[in-house]
Amino acid sequence: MPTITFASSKGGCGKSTAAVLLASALAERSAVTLIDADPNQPIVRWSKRPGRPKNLAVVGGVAQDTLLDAIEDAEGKTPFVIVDLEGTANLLVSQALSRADLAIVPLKGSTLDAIEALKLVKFITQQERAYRRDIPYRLLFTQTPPAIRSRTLKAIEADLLGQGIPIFGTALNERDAYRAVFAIGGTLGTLSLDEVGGLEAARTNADRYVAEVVRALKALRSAA
Amino acid sequence: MSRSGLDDMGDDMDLSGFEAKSKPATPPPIQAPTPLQAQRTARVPRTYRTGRSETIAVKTTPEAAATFYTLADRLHLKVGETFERAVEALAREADRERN
Repeated sequence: MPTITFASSKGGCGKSTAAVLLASALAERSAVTLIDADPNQPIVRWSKRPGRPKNLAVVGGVAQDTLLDAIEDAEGKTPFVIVDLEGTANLLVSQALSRADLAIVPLKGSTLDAIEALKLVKFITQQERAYRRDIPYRLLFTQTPPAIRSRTLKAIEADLLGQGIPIFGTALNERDAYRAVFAIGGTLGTLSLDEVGGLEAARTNADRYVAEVVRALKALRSAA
Repeated sequence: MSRSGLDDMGDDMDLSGFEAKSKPATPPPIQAPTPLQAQRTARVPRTYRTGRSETIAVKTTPEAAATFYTLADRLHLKVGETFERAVEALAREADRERN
């Protein structure tokens, strides 16, 4: 049922990684459609490599005039629809947000990234007014150091939470395994320990993130 | 392919409550507008072809002009036809006088 949209106002903050990790994990127990609405088509490229879960359909090549059709078509076919967007705020992003049950805004733990994330939060609230509907969203810290939470990250997090902006408690760490998913193909489950280091830690981190997203979706569903 | 990690999350990862959405009714596709030309039924031309293409501007007295238009109205003739009939009558009269 839920349509989850990944959006950010800048590129390189781990949107596609977060989208693929979520989609792959959900596909272990449900049918999932992953719509790649980024003109660079990173997820389509990933899906052409071996190891894509059978339960996970990847739809690429969508444009402004076909995105809503692609989303509605996918919503009718699979319980979970995930939309990955280009790192910008344009009409395509607006249209994707119009169908989002949850928007996830990934950001790195830097002040500059936080400023960009706030721009997107503002964009989401504008779309809420435009479409006259609530668009629930959560920020997701990505590429954070696994061992320690830096002072900068803590300060940014406190600042955002102080402004009432919801943030996932789990951050996606900086992990070679996440890059390996895109370089080799497949999922964290299909990668082998001799291919990439820190795989177990990456799996644990990704599982926590996915479980938190599912908890958020369940909470939103029961609130609706 | 399935990993044990997510199973450890217990009820958190029970996705059985999520189902595909019923598809909303899609509005009919927008058609390109029909060209204006094709919308009109072929029009019957309303012009009445008389072959009268020459103009004669004539100076005459108000009385002669009033008589001319009165004749035209009485005989339900167009101005051009009134003039042509007058010319024909004059020609017949001239012929009669000649004979």
